[in-house]
Amino acid sequence: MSEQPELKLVDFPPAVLARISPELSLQRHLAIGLRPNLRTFEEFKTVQINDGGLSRYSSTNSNNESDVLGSSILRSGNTTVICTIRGGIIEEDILGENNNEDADAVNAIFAKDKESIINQENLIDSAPIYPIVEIERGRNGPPTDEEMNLSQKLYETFLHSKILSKSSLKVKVGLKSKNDKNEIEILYNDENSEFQLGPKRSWNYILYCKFKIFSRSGPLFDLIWISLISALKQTKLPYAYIDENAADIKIPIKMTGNFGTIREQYAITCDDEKFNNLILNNEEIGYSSNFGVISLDKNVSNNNEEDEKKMEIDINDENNDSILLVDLEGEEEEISCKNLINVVVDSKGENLKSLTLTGNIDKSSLQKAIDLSKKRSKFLINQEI
Amino acid sequence: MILSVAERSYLYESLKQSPPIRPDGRSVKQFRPIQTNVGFLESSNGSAKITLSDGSECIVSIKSKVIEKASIESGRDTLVDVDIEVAGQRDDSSFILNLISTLKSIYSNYISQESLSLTNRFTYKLFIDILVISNYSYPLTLISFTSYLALKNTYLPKLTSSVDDKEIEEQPTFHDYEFVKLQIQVPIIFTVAIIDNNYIIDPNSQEMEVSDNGIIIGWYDGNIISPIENVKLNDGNSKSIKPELIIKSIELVKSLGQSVIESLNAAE
Amino acid sequence: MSTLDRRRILGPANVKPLIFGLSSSQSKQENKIEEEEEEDINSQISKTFIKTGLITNANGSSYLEYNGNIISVSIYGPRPVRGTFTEKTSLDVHLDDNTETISDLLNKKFCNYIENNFTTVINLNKYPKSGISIFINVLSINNFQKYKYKLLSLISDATTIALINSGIEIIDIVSSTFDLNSNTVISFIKSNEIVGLLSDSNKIYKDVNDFNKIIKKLGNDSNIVKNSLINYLMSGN
Repeated sequence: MSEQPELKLVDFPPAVLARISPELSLQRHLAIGLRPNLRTFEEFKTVQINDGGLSRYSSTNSNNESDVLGSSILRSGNTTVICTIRGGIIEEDILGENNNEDADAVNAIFAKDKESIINQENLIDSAPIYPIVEIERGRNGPPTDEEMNLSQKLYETFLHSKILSKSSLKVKVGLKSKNDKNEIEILYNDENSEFQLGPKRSWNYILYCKFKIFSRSGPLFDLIWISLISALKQTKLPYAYIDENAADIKIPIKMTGNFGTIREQYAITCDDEKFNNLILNNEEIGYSSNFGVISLDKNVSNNNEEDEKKMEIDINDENNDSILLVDLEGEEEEISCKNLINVVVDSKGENLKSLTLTGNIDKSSLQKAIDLSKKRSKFLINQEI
Repeated sequence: MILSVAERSYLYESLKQSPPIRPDGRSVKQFRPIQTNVGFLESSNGSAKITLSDGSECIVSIKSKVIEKASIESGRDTLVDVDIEVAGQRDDSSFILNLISTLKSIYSNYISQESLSLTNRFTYKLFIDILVISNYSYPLTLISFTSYLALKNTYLPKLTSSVDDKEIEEQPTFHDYEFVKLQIQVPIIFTVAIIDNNYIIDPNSQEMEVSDNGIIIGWYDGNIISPIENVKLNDGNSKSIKPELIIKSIELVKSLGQSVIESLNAAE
Repeated sequence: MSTLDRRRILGPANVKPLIFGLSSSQSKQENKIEEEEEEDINSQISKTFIKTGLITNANGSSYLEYNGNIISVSIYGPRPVRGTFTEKTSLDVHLDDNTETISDLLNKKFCNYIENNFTTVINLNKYPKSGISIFINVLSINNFQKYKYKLLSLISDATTIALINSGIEIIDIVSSTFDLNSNTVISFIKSNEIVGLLSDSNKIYKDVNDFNKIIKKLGNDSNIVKNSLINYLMSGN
């Protein structure tokens, strides 16, 4: 009988193994109580953040012509997140009852549930921001799924967190005119309370934020959230005024259409120097944390039993085969962890602002994740980033 | 155009000679013969067509519109608008956009406001629509020559209302059938190909394919103007240029400009 | 960008952009200082900050800061391209303007300039059937109207550094310089050979020698830029 051909064992260096068999590599790391990125299971990545000097109001910016109202640059590991906040002005729709003398009569018929409308308004007092997330990966084209998901999640979480109220985005419009001495001056409401301009008109700021992400290494929502909050804290809103000359109301009437439209057009200009801080509801501001739950593969652990007996005992203490990993990072963890938790809390850590669960998650992991994210959020708030 | 290794090396070697031997026997400063045709589009204010000996063909149509001067001062509008369509190229390709941006900047710098001015408040705006039907070499020179002819043969409606409308607001009104010829000076752009130590004007497609680099140079009223730029004439054969060659090319263009203008004017 | 873009959250449609009133007088004086400084290449270099390799998932990257202009360039490739066999690398350049000040036409012009520069310089034959992508991110711009081609020369320098960082073979260091008066940017390699030239002003050159002088001046400046780039690279950062 011929001899069986002997199978040679192939050895891979860790980096190669991580690439070709991420699950196995991760399990081997976990079996010795470590993560591939050398953090412990419950250790968050550190975050450094500054205002980036991109905003026109930033003290370190020599460029005061930019239209950026607030900015932040965040670094965590190799990942860089650049957040810029821009604005726009939108004229508020005027409710019929304010504009029209007959409104009461009309409302009596068509809007019987007027009270319910008002209640709804209270609910939607929170103002949105409009995010665009761009992750640089050396490709051009339409936004990827991840970018779209992140934008959508950010939009919704922010809106429902009630961090920004609509009232803080109101534009207090001034008037630029010549005074008695024929000097040009700009009057603002707070300086001259008598002055009022067309009582039925009001304008709001709209805030856009754009994220540019370099060297992505793990789930991004946490980092984007931190950079957004930090940028909003730096954000200033300019004073705005209507130029008396420019406002000499144009009335374009469409002759070709079915209806003629008469509409006053005001050109609103922002003051070059004066600004207000953007007011945020600080008690609503909390931070976001993400977790992955992964179950230990007994086979892998057993292989190492002899060398790593101590570690094995550590893990078994929890009487549970699944491990909670905080702040996922790297290909191995992202591919292997299919059970994910994301928690956003408020400033006191009492209420949850957002909770996302994906996959099969047991009660104790969830409880632990929530506890950890409260601690984490408090820590970040104290750090005052 | 795809050339074999042998063809390429033969062409390059002959163009390297001093003086260069061009495949169609032209001298360094000789253009390909062109055939011109002006004023054939009834519905536009000015039109021109140039056909090159290799079959390249370009049609330019000039249309005009009356706009308020205030809209130009405030930056909402421009005096000249250029649109280019080249057969076989997407209209958002960088090739087309670069041609447009070059032409826009040269025409808005050198077509004077006065020549298009109507009244104190109104002015003509020119729309230059360029169509390159077939194209075998870098089309900028062809386009600028055709636009030159079209602009030089543009007729705009004659104003009958008063020029001074500062005090009384008045819409300009025009003569029913009389036109006035547009009196302007138009800049033109030359293409020069660099091959080793030689520079040749108006390269054809084979010459472009083997050239080391290309330069475009603007000419206006006897002088050199921007754009002075290098352009890619082929895919990936480009080499660096010695500064002397740029200067020599500019000198060549400066000396040629007037005679080109004269022969273009003769075509009217 | 189409208003019917359902892939991005764009907000309401009838929003007007913020228009800021004219700056007050103080900026004029600053302009003068800047213009004087524009003549002094050494002081410009001393104010320039460069860092490489910050972007880890790119093959090479650089970050450049000068006087309110911030540029980040990342290089991806050589990486395989789909389709039929090509004997040379294809090079593509993308510019993303985070400040929303560069118009589409100028964006394409900048990309075209960088592409022309570096197709001349990269050893394209060495990397068959592959592609190299250059991604330029402009994060902040100072006084774009006046110094747009200054920005282009900075982008070109940043791209050179990023290409070197990526280990892609180039025949020489490209150093670019800018002349304010004639609004000209020229990129040089070797001893004053030109790979990129872009001049766009309403200046009329009555004398060809005027342009010669500009080339000479920028050539000298470029040698200084090149030396400082080499110094930076040799210092091992």
